[in-house]
Amino acid sequence: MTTALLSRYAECMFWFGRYTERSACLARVLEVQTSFSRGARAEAADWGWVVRLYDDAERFFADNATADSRSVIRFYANDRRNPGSIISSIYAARENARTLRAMISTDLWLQVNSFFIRFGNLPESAHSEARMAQTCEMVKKEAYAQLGVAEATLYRDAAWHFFMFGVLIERADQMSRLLDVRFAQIPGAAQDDPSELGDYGFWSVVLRSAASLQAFLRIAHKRRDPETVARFLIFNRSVPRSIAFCLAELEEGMGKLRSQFESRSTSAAHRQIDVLNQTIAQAEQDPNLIERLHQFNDTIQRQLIELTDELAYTFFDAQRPSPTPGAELSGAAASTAQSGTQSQSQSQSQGASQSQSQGSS
Amino acid sequence: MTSTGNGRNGHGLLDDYDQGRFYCELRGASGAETPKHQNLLKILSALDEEEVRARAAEATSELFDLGVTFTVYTERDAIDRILPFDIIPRVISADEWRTVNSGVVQRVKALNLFLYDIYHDGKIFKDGVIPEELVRGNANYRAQMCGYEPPCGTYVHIAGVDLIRDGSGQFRVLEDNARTPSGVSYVLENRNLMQRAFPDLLEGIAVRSVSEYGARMHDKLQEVAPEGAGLDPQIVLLSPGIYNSAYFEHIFLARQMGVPLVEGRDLTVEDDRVYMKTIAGLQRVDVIYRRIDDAFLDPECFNPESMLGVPGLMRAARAGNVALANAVGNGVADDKAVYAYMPRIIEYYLSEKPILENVQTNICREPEALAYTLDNLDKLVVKPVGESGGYGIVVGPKATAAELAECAERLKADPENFISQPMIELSVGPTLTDRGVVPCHVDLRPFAVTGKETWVLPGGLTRVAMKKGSIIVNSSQGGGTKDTWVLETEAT
Repeated sequence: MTTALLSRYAECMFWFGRYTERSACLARVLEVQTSFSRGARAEAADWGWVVRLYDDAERFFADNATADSRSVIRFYANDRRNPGSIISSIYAARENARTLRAMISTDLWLQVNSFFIRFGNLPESAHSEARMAQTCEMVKKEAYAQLGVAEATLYRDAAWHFFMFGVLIERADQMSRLLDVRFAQIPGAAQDDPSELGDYGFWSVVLRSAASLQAFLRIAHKRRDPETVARFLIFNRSVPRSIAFCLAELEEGMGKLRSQFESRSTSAAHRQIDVLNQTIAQAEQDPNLIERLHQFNDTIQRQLIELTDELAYTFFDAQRPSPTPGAELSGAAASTAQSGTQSQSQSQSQGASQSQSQGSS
Repeated sequence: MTSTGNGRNGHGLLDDYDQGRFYCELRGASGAETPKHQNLLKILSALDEEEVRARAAEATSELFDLGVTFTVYTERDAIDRILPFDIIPRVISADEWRTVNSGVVQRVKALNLFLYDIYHDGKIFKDGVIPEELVRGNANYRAQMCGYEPPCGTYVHIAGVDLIRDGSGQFRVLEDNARTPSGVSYVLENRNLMQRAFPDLLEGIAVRSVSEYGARMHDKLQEVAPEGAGLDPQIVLLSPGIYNSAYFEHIFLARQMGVPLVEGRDLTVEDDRVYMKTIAGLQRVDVIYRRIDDAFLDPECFNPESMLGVPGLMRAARAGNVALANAVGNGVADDKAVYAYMPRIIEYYLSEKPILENVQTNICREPEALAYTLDNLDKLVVKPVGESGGYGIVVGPKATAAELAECAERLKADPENFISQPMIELSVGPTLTDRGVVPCHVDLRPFAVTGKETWVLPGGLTRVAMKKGSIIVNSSQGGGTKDTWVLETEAT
């Protein structure tokens, strides 16, 4: 008799993957910001965009008067009270892995545990602006090692697919946020000014954050304009961090889950992936995409949240909220307000993971 | 002891070791002319202390990376503590093991018969072997178990019988653990560490393997699956979750057995049947190895506040649709008050003398024993029984005259609440500490698994009191562990 995967394990696998990916993405953003702000354009060093990138203004400014390098680094690197910090991500990944100890490989657990211990043992000085690049380098290496050990050692059962769903959804979400950076940087009307958007150096930074500068240079050479960069990072199916790549992998994984394991119906999740694919396809045809980029990113982030909810209802034993009159309307209204980190974090107790959506309150 | 081998380049491991007046697990009785385990002593003596220390440190760091931890997991701060591992093994010869093995098997058999009897006809009360109120009035007695028919008649599926060795080298039972004895993961992990850090020590010495524990346990749990569970019953391990101090062991055993590690919230009871929630929907569960105490197991039946348990679990068990291991209500059998009667319980059910003797215990509710205790108060250890707690233990030789007088008053006022035992000189094993290699007191917890029959793991958890002079081997009191070698053959 084959034992089907426990719902709780599926959920833990999902968040284990998601938090691992998140720690790497956070490190990339902080690393890039550190080198960007120390480069020739130091006068433009705006640390506030990191806060806007993750929609954390409310929580951030509750404790900090200004978004300077010191406070932003502390908030995103080693503040345990911030669920969206590197240390919180590493901690959450380890907590999930701890729960999963009985089913993940010992090699993977060793990696998770030593990553956690290594980061926890860093001296305070490692979180200074001067040392941030090295610290981020370490985090990136460890997080990628974690993904690598997972790839090389995890048994390929249903649990593996949930791990990858977490990685891929987080990666797509992070990419969409990164593409929004320029808009987060330039408030209001100035967004319409193409010269602001066309900042050559800045888009190099975005490409570097996405670990895609070399690939981009190989195929697009000097055309480092926002349009080309954005299209490259959204639609290029050979870029392992592009949104299109993540969606294709998600779809393939979902198909395997349905065909190879006795999982519940994957049709709702499949439908949600179709919705995302449609959004992508439409955007790809849109000649004025760059003007609507912010809107596009919002849509992608919301639809990824809805996909996460579908996974929770179908597989993680979460209760679908009962439909209420006007839910359609309030759902749409509520979801735009929910692109913050809070909605992107694992709930404390099982069955509450849908709390962020559909205005169930 | 005198230096026999010396370390290759300096200080030999056992150069300064002196067992004192105690029985030594490696050398034997104090003053014995021929050491017990000569060959092993020679090998150990030839090791250099510094090198051993370095290798032990490596092994410990490996443990740390693995997260083999004992307690303490508070909400936000993870302070993972490792149970210290001492590299000098504890050795049990083949003939000694035969005694331990058969003694443990006998004891488990008697415990199962006793539990069946007290939850059914209570013949043992009618025959006046043990007072009924002592058992049925015990806080760990569970009336819900009355009339329940456990598969194979087994209540104590996993037993950990704590043994000590006295000054003469004889093994004695200190207590029975019939609820959820822990520690077996350390037995297997310690061997693992030993094989990796000190393969040379194991070379040429035939030590019995401990690696089949998981498979054996799985087999035994299959044997107690309810009828109708089919050929391949679904076994799960039910844990309170990651904040439990023994969570590492739960993971370990689930892996060794190849069964899902579940929490209460993963299970649900419908129509008196237990199911687990999976990505494929509800899946039937037949046997639950539970590491949750009785009180938290089923809020319908016991503590209604419990968030750890599964409502309806007892109904399912009573309906014969799921087997719980260990059974509910076993706590009454390993109680201190009942312990004193174990030799009589064994004779009553099995018509055999106990193979492993208790520590001599005076049951103060009996007039002769009370008189003896009062006369020898300054030489005895007086212990309260049952769940009374509170009063604490009085150690005669260490107590003041006033304390003894007070103890005597309490004894006379409420003799039923006390037992007394002589002071025991626990055996020692050479142990590597900051103070060098010194004798530290040890005990032994062999593990027995029972379905239709009982199988005892050849080995066990040797706990060692690492603080100077301490006889408390508890892990919470700075205790450590040693690898326990049961030898295949007589000679080493």
